[in-house]
Amino acid sequence: MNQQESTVKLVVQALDASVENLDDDVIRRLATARERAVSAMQPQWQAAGHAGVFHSLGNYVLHHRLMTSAALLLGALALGFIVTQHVIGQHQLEQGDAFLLGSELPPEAYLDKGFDTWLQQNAR
Amino acid sequence: MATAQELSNFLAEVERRAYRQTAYAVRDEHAALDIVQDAMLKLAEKYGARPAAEFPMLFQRILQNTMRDFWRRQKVRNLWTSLLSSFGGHSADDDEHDPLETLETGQRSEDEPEAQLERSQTIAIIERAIEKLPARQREAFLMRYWEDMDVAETAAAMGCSEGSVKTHCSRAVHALAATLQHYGFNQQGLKKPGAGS
Repeated sequence: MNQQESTVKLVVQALDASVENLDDDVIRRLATARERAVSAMQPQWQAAGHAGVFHSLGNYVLHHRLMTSAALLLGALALGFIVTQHVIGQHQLEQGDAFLLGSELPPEAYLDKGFDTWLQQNAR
Repeated sequence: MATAQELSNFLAEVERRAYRQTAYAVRDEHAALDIVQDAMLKLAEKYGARPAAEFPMLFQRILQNTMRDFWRRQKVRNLWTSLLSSFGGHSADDDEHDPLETLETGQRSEDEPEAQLERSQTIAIIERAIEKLPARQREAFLMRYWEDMDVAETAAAMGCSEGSVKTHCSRAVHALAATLQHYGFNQQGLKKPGAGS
């Protein structure tokens, strides 16, 4: 055994001995603290067993308020964008229909690709 | 996931060492008890659902962080109290007391009160040497050799590299060896040369 190992052994031996000689009051207070800590663990277990996903979600929201607020804001913005796009698209469709119905040409003429070529040739 | 019983067993196993370890660091037994209690609660509340195998590393990490919080608070408090206590009659003898000065030597049996006293004084000298180590060296030494954590676990708990842990441990062992040699301890046990069998 080299000097380093024997130093470690000697010091650890002394530390172990110091733990054995703790005051009764300290030992009692440590035991009380341990019991308190273990009882603080219990609600978490019960919550996981009874309330399940909803309780976990509730805890998540409670502990990540900033993230949840940001997510809700982004969701609201995305919903607003989708609704706006939908309304605008519908309006454009209505305008397109009105244009086709009000036009002198029948709607089939716009679907005929040869019609564009014919129109360009006649325009010259 | 760990059970409440596993948590209880783990805490029962480490609580006394954690208390001593904290007391060496903060040098205040009441504060050490509070810190250990806080660390236990934090482990149970925040990491109670983790596997029991992760408890040693997590607990050490929490304990170190709780100690750092204590020192931060102490720093702020000392800033104010030092201004007020500069006129106080604080005796330097309390801090400078050296257990070696009152250490008695002689040929005695292990069971005799004198031998027990000598043993407790020897422990006090070694504890004092531990207290005098720089904080990071003490943390690394205690976790590595007393808590029997490996280098990787110690590094994770201390939030540093494995190389740093090895360096801290090596320096701590050298410092302790030098202190013990200075006090004339042999390397075989908790006795000074010339002390009883």
